[in-house]
Amino acid sequence: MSPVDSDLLDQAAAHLREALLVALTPSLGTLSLGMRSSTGREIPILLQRLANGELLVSDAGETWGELVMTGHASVRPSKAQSERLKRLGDMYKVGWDHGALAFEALCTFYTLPDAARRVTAASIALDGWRALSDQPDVIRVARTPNLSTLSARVAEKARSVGWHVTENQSLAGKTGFSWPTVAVLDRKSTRVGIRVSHSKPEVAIEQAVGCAVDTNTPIVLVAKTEVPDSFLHRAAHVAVIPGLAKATPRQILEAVDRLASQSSV
Amino acid sequence: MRRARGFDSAKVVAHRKRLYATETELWDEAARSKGFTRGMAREGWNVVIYLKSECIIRAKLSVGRAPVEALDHHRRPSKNETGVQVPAGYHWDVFYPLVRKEPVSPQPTGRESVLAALVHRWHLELDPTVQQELLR
Repeated sequence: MSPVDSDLLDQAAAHLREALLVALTPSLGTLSLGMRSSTGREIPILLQRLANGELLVSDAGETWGELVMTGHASVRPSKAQSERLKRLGDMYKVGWDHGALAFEALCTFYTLPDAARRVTAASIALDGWRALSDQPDVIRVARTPNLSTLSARVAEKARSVGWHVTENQSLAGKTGFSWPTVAVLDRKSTRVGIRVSHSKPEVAIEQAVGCAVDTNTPIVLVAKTEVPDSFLHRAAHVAVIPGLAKATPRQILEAVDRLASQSSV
Repeated sequence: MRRARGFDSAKVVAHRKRLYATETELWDEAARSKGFTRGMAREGWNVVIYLKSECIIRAKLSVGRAPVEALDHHRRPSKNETGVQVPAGYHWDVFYPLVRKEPVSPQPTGRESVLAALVHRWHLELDPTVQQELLR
């Protein structure tokens, strides 16, 4: 090894030692090795002295707690989950306490450093649940309704009140452009299209008006975003339903009926 | 006939962590830590309040399946999304509209003040029985 490299190593070692010393400050009855979870939380090491003189080292249940808070896990793990957690603990030679929802290891004062490292490692491994669970981003999953579900629900409701429904059909315009729709509703000589847009309100409404004029068909626009009130009743032959999450089939069909009655007059 | 020693409720459980705890105490603790749930995910919202340990209460408010806000407690400091240090203790985990951590100030000193902070922030109506259960 060159002398420069050994200097670098010495400096780095001194720096890391200083950083570790800062992290090792006790806080609310815990210590930390300075490792952080993916959310930036320091992994705590909770020490409990047992009546037989041994020490119980645990991660205070905070890693599971964070999974609960972010919606990746329920407060109490299921039996199957508990089994997996035990297996994860076995990999690092630590135990899983089902009551405290924490990884824990028994040690003496002399084996404490090793036990603390193993508990910290298991705790960080559990943090990987965030990426490995079935719903990697719970918030986004819950906020985006399924479009195919929406069209199916609308279609079911529309058929029950006498509309002929074609799902996911494109309407051919006079200009030759084909305008995609979620569903096209036909009854006698009336035809109404339903469009869903994820664009900004002004763009979505502009496209819907374009579609209505080009295809000569009234359009119900379900906008994903909130639409300002001043935009709602401006366009002829276009009914706007703001907020995709709030749009119900009934609301959409009311708008369809309104447009149908206007166009037949 | 009276048993000489070691009748059930006072039986010392050979629990490796709590060598001095009686079985009754452990069962009580387990029952309380299950917490209090109001609302259902299917109804569109729910609130869960539970005892994490003897002195720590946690709570989560969800809409649909998505958490909106939670009262969390960390024993170590953490960094929030923007890299700002959040001190140890209680903080609000806000998930919507912007993910952030807001320290609770003043920091609750007991379970009563934690519940008071929750009731104030989420406009909860806690039954006295639930409150007693969580404070017992």
